[in-house]
Formats: sequence, structure tokens, C-alpha cells
Amino acid sequence: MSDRHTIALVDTLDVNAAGPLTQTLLKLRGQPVSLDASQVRRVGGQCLQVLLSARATWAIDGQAFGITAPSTDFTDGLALMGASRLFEATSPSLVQD
Amino acid sequence: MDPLAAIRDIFFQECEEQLAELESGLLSMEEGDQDPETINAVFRAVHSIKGGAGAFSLEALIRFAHVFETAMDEVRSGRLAPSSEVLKTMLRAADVLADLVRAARGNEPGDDPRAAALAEELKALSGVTGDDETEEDWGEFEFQPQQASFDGPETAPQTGYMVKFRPRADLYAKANEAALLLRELSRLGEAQIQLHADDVPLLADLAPEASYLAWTVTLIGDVDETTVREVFEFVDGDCELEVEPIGGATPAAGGDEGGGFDLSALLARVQGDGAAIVTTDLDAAPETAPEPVVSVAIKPSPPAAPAPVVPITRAATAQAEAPADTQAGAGGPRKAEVAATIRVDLERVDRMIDLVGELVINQAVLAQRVMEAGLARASAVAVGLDELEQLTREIQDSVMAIRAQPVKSVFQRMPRLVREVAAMTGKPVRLVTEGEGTEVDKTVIERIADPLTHMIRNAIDHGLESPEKRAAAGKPAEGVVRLSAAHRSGRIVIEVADDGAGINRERVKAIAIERGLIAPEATLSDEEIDNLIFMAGFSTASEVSEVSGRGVGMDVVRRSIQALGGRINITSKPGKGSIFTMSLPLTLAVLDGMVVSVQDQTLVAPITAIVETLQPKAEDVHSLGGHARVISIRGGFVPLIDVGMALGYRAEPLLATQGVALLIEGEGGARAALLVDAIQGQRQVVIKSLEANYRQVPGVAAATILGDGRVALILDIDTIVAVSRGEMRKAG
Repeated sequence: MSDRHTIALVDTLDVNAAGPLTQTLLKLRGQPVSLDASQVRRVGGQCLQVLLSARATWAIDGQAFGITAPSTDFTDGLALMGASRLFEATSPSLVQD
Repeated sequence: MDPLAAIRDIFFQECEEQLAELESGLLSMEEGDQDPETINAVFRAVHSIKGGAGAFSLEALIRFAHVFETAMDEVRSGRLAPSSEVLKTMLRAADVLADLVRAARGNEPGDDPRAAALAEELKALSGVTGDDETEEDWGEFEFQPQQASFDGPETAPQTGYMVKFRPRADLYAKANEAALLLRELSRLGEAQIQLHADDVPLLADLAPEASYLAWTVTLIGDVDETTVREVFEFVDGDCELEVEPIGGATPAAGGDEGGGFDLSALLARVQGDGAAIVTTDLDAAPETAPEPVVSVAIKPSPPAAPAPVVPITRAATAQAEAPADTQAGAGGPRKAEVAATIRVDLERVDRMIDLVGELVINQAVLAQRVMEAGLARASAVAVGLDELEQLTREIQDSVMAIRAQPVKSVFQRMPRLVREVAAMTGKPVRLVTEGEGTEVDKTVIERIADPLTHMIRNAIDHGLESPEKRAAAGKPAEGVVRLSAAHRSGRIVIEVADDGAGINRERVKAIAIERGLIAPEATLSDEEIDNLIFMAGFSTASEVSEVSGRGVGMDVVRRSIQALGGRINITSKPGKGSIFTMSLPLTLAVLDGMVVSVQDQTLVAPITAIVETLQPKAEDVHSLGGHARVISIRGGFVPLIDVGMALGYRAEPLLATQGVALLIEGEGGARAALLVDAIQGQRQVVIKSLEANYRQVPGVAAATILGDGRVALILDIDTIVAVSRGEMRKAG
């Protein structure tokens, strides 16, 4: 799985980041993707939508989709929106080679 | 200021308002008002004080308010009839509560024995016996904030809300963020946040700026619905929002996320069958199995199932809960009313009043310059200036209106005073107030409280007879003291009337003679005798009573009123009672004045004192020897006072025919004519204190700045008249 693409998520996943994130992900459709969430300080509703959608899309495509190294802010942000388990599901086995 | 101290301050300010509300509600109930709204208002006042006291751990206050509230709840629920006796106890309880609030504000210990005694009475009213749970709580009562329903007898406390929140795209577009709102919400208590992601399409169909998510938050905590809704205040209209109280059933709130509380069941109950759209099972998604995720993913089009946010019978519930912090029943409008007021630092308002004063002066200066420049009255500049003058007036009136307050704030202190004085003197008294909504400047209000207190004490202590004497005179045992306020020709008139015996003129005259206040042979009209009680050192009560104090009588009252630019007057009818009438300016900042010239000086006479102006005729003026003169006006004689002489501007009096006389009415209705050289005109002037900027000058009340930039003195008419009378007496 060496061809897995890693996307570094920007620190502020707000309304402005949702569009670019969607575009980036769309370009990688059909390929395993790993999102590096280590730099994320804020995550908002619209980026969460993108992440949820991407995750479902990747699942339908049968491709691996994972989030690595989530920052505490990212984890907290997801928990606040009732989506804390999004990344928990991304168990190490999913993202590990 | 320390933020907590600031909040504490606000709490105490609000307490004052609540106490006022409490007292007026109880008084109105005493008069037979059985409107549930009034009863609720009273309950709410006590409840709010208790709630606030809880936040600051004011134990004594909490304890008493709790007992009081319990008793009030009995009344509210109809278990306790609001009889006259019950209400008397409640009124006394309101007094104690007010004392406790004040003690708490000053960090002093409350009046424990009195509070404890009254608490016992209240408990007796509410049927709480010594064995009751409440009694056990008494010693170590800890405040447990609780949500109370204000629309009827207390039911099971509300302990939580189900908040359904679905942002619209606009919410994000306006730079609001769902995550932040959820954070705010979760700060209000223990929140379980359920995400609904059914509508999220696959990535190819996703519009990044659209909004697909919704949340259901189960909030467990002691908050009212208004607070919950306030979280969403700024996104109103940009989201779908449902706030539903979770009635009575307290879910297990202690666990970690998702623990112990069957949210799905609750959701199903609220939303109806077939609407289960709970999709937080994201975690269930194993590494490679896509199925569990399907519920999120494969719904590119709107679901056939009902929308996640189901409108339910919220309207009624919301109405029932919303007014938690306002008036019950009329939640909507009342809320709007409350929201329409702001608290402003008085200093800021005063600063603005000062500035508007300067503006008025400046405008006058400008007008003067335009006139001096010889511009025609119809010229564009002059017309524009007239408009400016109108505007300035309006601004001034508006600013004054900010400072204006109903006299209610002073009047509402009086029922308590009456109760206490009545108890001390053993005279049953009923206080009737009228015109509480009459507005007057805040400074005036602050400064009439003391004189008014004194007058009411006097009315009960000296005015009203003992119950026996009243019975003998065929009057009802209960005396009536009437306190009223009204606007009358640009002033506020406050009357304190009693239905007592009236002034005993013989005795008043005897005392005045005995104390050397008047000559024994003096012949005085009834009115003049009545007004003797305003003389310094006069006290009619043959025994100095505890209530009214020693000798500090009506003269002090009169001085306070005069210091405010006011007048006080008494009319009395033997056997029927006395009426004290105070007439006060509505504001202490501006004054309508008659601008006059005296020996090349420009002076201002307050227009309120001027009855008429006239050109003296030689045959009407009579000399009394020395410089004392009188002028005949419509068959009567009034002293003619040369203002120039009175203020020391000239040594020889002006010929009466060369000047103009202002017929004025001083305090007590005494008339005099002030002789001035000429009248310049009438205008509104801004009062500048002479005392604050220089020192007190007899005969001069204040100063002002005229349009030409010169300072003009405002005459203290009463003093001028009094001084001249004294001199006339000496001369005579």
C-alpha cells in the first residue's frame, strides 16, 4: 500500500477550507487516502461534512480511508459535534501498511 | 472592576427591582387583586432573589427566601387563601427580605432573630411543621438551583432539554460555526451530542458550502429554556431549532458519553416510529466492511423518512417555559419589553446632559452672532438657525427624558415606612398612592426621598388622631395618608394628604408666640398660621416622639425642597386633615427664564415663579418709609422689591414708573412684585451651579451663560422676597 496518498489537513478546517478539501479529495478518488490531522486546531461543521462524505465514498469504492495522528483539538472538535468515533474507527490497522 | 463584583452589583440592583415588584404585588393583592399574574409576579420576585443569592452563597438570604417562596407557592397553588392576615405577614416578610438583601450587599449579618421569627410565621402559613423535611433542611440548607414553572403551581422540576439543531448554509456563510454553538450549548450542562449525517451525499455530489448535518443535543442541567435559546440568538433564522424540555424524567446524567441514557428510545418517543435516523454508529465501521457506513453514505437524495427535525407540539411547551425570567402569561411581549432597556452608567448620561447644555449655549451664541451680523430674519442662515434651535430643544428634551424616572422608585419605599410608623404609633394607617408613573429627573427623585419620608412620618405621627379620637369624631379607625404626584404646568406637584384633625391653629400660634417666632399681637391669616410650622425650631407635638424626632421639623423639609428649586405649601381644614403640596422643577439642568436687565446687569428670573408682568403706574405705588414700597394690584397690596437694591447693584431705588414689575408668587403663595429695569425676553437657560464653581450668594440661585457669552445670574426669588420682607418689617 505504498501508493497511499497522505493529505496534511490544514490547521483551520472552517468554512473556507471545505471547498479546497473537497477538491483535493475528489482528485484522489479511487485511491487509498490517509489524512494527517496532526496540525488541525479547529474543525467546523462543513469540513466535517466533507470528511464524512469522503469516508462514505471511499467505503463504497472499497478503498482505505484513514486519519492519522489526530491532534487533541481535532479529536475534541469531532467529539463536540458527536463525531468522535469517526477517527476512532480509523484504527491503526486501517492506516498501517 | 472585578467581573464577579460587577455581577454581584447587578444582582443587587436587580434585587431592588424584584423587591419593588414584590411589594407592589403584595399591596395590590392586599387590595383584592386576585389576578394569577400578580401572584406569579410576587412568587417570581422571591424566587429570583433566592436564585441569585444561591449563586453568591448568601446563606441567610437563601434560607429566608426559601421559606418565603414556599409560603408564596401555597398561595399560588390555591392551598392558602391570600387573606388580609396572610398578606400582612407577607408584607412584613418582604421588609425582612429587603433588609436581608441590604445586609448581604453590605456584607453584614442579617437581622437573624427577626428573620427567624418571621420565617416561623411563614412556615406556619405554609403548613410546614417542625418535623417536616424543610425544617430539617433549615440548619444546613444548601441551595439547589431549580427550574420553576411560573405559570402555575410548581410541578416536577425541569432538568433537561432536547435541542434539535439543523444549521442552514447561511449560518456558515455568515461566518457562524455549528461547532462553536454546540460548544456553547455543552457548557450549559451535561450534553450528549448526537450527530445526524443522513443527508450527507457522496463526495461527487457534495457542495462544500451546503449544510447537510443536524444535531440532537440532550442537555442535562439547571438552565432555563431562554438560556438555551440564547445560545442560538445570533443564528436565529439561519437554522432550524427545536428546544424541547425533557419533562420530569431525569435521565441518568452522570455517566460518560452514551452511558446509561437511552437516547434512541427518547428520540423514538419524540419523533415517532420510523424516524430513527441516529447515525452515530460511525465507530461500528470495521476496517473494511462498508455496510455500517452505508447509513451515512448512500443517501445522495433527501430521505423518504420524515426530516430529522420533526416539529412537535412545541409551541405550547415553549410558551409555558419561556417566561422563566420574565412575566408569565405574556411571555412574548414582556420579553420584548425587557430586552428593550439597557443599563447605562449614570455618569455617561450626565456627561451627555452637560454636552447638550453646552450645545444649547453654543447655539444661543451662534444666534446672537447672526443677529449681530445684521442678517435678515428670513435669510437662509437665520431660518437654518431656527431649525437648529428646534433640534437642540428636541435633543435636550430627549436627553432629559433619559434621566427622567417615575416617582414610583420613591413612592414604593413609603408603604414600608407607613407600616413601621403605624406600628410604632399604634395608629392603623392606610397609604394610598396615586400618579406613581409621573416622571421627574433622577436627581430630583433622589433628593425628595428624605423630605417625603419626613412628611409622611409627620402626617401619621402629628396629622392623624389616635383611633379613640377618630372614633369620637365619627371617623373610621383607620387613618388614610394619600401620596400623589402629577405634572402641572411644567413642574411636578407632589401632595401628602392626611384625613386627620388638621392643624390646630390656636396651638400653633401659641407655640410660635411662646418661642418668640411671632409677636404676641400679630394678626395672622389662617394660611399664615399654617405656614408657621415651616419655621425653624417649630415642633407641634407636645411630646417629642420617637417617630418624628426632636424639633427637626418641617423647616428642614422646606429647606430641602427649596434647595431643589421647589416650593412647599400647606392647606388644612380643621377636622378634615391637612395637605402638604410640594411643587418641584422637572429637572435641575435647565430652566425657562425671563431675562431681565437691572442696572446694566443681565439677570434671569425663573419663569415658573412669575405670575404676570406689569408697568407700574405712579398712583399705584406707595412708599412705606425708608425704601420700602408697596404696589396696588387689583385692589390688593403687594411689596414692591427693587432687585437692584436687593442685590446691591444700586444705592438709590429705581423710580417704579421707569421699570417693569414682575409679579411673583413665592413659597406659601406669598406674592411680591420685583422691580427691574427692563425685560429682554424669555428663553431656556442651562443652569450652572454657582456653589460648585464659586460659592453661595444670597439672592442668587445659580448662573447661566447667555448667547453673547456673558454670565448671567439666576435669581433666587424666595430669598430676595424673604430678605426684603425682613427689611420691610424692620423699616415698618
